[in-house]
Amino acid sequence: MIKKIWDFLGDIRLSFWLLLAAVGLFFIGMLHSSFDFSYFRAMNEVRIQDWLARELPTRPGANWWLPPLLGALFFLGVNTVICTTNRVIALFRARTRTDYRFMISLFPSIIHALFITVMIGHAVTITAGTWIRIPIAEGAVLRIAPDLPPLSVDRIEDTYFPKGSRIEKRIMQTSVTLAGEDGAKMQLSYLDDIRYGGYRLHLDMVKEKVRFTHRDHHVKASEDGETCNRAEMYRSRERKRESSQKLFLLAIADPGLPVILTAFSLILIIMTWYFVEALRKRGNE
Amino acid sequence: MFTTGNHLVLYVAAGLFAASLALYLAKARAAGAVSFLAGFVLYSLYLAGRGWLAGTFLPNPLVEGPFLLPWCIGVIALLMAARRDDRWGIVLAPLLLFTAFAAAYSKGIIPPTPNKMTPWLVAFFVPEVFAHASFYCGAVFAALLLAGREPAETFHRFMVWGFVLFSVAQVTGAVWCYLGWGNTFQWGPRHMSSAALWLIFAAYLHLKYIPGWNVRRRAWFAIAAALVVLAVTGSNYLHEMNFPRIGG
Repeated sequence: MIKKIWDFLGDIRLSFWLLLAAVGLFFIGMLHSSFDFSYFRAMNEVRIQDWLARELPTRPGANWWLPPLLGALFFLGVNTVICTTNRVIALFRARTRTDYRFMISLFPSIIHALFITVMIGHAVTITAGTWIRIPIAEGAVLRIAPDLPPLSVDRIEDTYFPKGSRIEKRIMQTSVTLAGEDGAKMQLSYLDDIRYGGYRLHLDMVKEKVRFTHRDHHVKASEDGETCNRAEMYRSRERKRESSQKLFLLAIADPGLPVILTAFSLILIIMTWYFVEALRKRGNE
Repeated sequence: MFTTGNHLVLYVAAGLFAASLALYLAKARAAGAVSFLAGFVLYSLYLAGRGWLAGTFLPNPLVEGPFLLPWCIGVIALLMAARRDDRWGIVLAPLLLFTAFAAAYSKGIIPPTPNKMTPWLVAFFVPEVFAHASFYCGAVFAALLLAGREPAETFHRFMVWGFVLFSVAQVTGAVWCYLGWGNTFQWGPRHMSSAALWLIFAAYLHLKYIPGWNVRRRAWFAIAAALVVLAVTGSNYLHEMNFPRIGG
């Protein structure tokens, strides 16, 4: 009985159908998030279990696809683990010697194992991550967590694109100088996060005119017209920050991040190695 | 840059690609190759010119999908010709199609936000668009196989390389997303469609090991998967046409 279940769960045909199920559900999610962009944007800063507990009963029509998607990905993970284990066992049983070729033959299984690791990393992120959004203004004191000393905002400096260009009134970079209690200074910019007490600090900006419906479930996202294009938020009339351009500090504690990035990097290396070897083998033949 | 905003260069390149395809089909391969090369050089110059559309150099408009895609397909044709693969001209069909699309597309650029001013953007878009180019070329070869005009399983090689490049894009895209937005994955249309496309091709790769999925059935699947890529990216491109643009 156990062997039957094991074989069923590790069957490659099941992999195929689970992959297709996940494809379909991701596409359904894509459509929902296209029509309700800012509603689903808020989901990026909430743990999945909290989101489901809060949103599934209130807006089941928009969220129904999430549980089956998570289920399909879970079973895909189980399927991949079993399938990979079976293959590795078979390879070790059939091996005549342990050499370079044998190592290469293990690469697809290693890639599958790393894929599982990436999925676990994402699962950790969406279930255990913490996202805190705090408005920033010069002179403000930022309290990220009760156990962390506060940070004060010393200076906010915007750099615009070069004068004379067609985008001269658009912000190219923002640099925020933060000071700790001991007076130590830190520079925070877009694309250049800093680490602070277990959190990674990022910058984000919102223009008030485009309403950010972050926990406002009564306003449908389609009503506020927000799309993935945020270019207009960074345009000022006079190369000077406008009062409607609100800067935010995003403090993120993401325990899944190192797992995801490490596994992704290893997948890239091993996948490239494997296909280069495959090409070389074909060339020799 | 003399090609900045000069769309005539793009239209001439499209004309040269059309002539190249016609010559290739008429078995005038050498003349077709010359026409293709001239078109490719012009197209490359046009693409480079897009970098100065904002009045200051930006790499962002160079890697915008509708304009980078024909160039990537052109590179594939060049690589095939360099390997003395006579079928390089087959790739001219999708090349011409997507160049025509680029010629009809909004020529201006979407102004970049601060989190798009990074080399990670290039590291994401280049492999992603090359992957799309591989999928489309693979679909063309799959269609030829089904029509009995292509004996080899060439389409599979395109699908595999497309998948590898698409995987590279997922990794660089995750790094860029983390640096720019703080998460490696976002519950938004762009990320969910990317995940879906990656899973489709992962499913395709598994077909080779499933009994009953012979080469013809896999060719059908490859065509269907490429059509899904076309539908998803095409609708994104059409949606982005309405974004406020500068220059062009």
